[in-house]
Amino acid sequence: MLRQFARYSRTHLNQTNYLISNQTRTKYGETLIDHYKNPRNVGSLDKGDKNVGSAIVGAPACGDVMKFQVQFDDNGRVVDAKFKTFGCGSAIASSSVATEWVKGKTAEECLSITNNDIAQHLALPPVKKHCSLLAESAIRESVSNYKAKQAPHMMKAEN
Amino acid sequence: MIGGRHLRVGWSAFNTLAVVGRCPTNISIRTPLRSVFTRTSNQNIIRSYSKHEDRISQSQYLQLFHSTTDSISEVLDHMMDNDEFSDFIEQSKEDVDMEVSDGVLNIKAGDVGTFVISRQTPTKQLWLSSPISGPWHYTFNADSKDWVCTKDKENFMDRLERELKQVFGKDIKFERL
Repeated sequence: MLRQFARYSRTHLNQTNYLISNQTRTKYGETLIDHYKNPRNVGSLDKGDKNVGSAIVGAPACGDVMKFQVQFDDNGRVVDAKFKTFGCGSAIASSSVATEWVKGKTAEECLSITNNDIAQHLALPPVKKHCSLLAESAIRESVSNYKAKQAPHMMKAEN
Repeated sequence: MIGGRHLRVGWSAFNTLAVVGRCPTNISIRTPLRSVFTRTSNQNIIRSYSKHEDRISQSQYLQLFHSTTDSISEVLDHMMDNDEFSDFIEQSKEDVDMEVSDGVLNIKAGDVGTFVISRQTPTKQLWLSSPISGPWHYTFNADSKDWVCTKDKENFMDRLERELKQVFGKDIKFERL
């Protein structure tokens, strides 16, 4: 649907403002369409690496599954991030934006990214805001996976 | 384990029905299965229902979801009929509108944005998308008889009432389940 709409928007939508204002229900922002058509940082990182935090969020039954991986350097900053998302265009775009935003950030800075930041950046329609929530929890879980890997002896002591 | 047991009860009962031949022809395969299942283990369902909110059945979940959206739309419908949003409409120059389609409740609040209350059947959750505070997910809690947020444990109705008051400047009370 998104792809169809993108094709439609190229041919018709940009010509008149009137059409755009009449299409609020199906209107996706340019940023979102860009991230959907050219997703950034698709792929995988080495799950066994101790500097890589991985997370899989979402449920296959719900139609959205997101694999999210962040790689930190020795100074605790993100040097690389990869994702693979099975889901709607908004979910793909949300995770694509998330991989871009975490780069160069520390673990704490990553956690400060909220779903509302992503939703606003992509101008997500109301019903699609949940996709940005999925991206937020993907960041959270991958960072906490990294933290757990960094302090395995502490985790053992707690258990 | 539980799923397996139910399935066996259902099937053996169905086979008996089929052998005896009392299964009415106009009832689909699913109907006798479900009715036998609820009759034989009704107590079990009620017990598990009150203890573990995640064990409510699909039909119970849908029923709860629909009565929630019904109570919301009823109150808002009534307010719209009485022109209670006229101040807000005058101020925002846009209309207040409500729409239910495919079990999804949309409340369009002028230039503020749209509240979307949708169901997420696989996880038995209620999802709220608010133009003020963003997306929230709720699971049903049998003890408080309300939908409880997965993140901050706030009740769904409390949040919706508060945010609608913030938008419309009016006290809105929804009937609890």
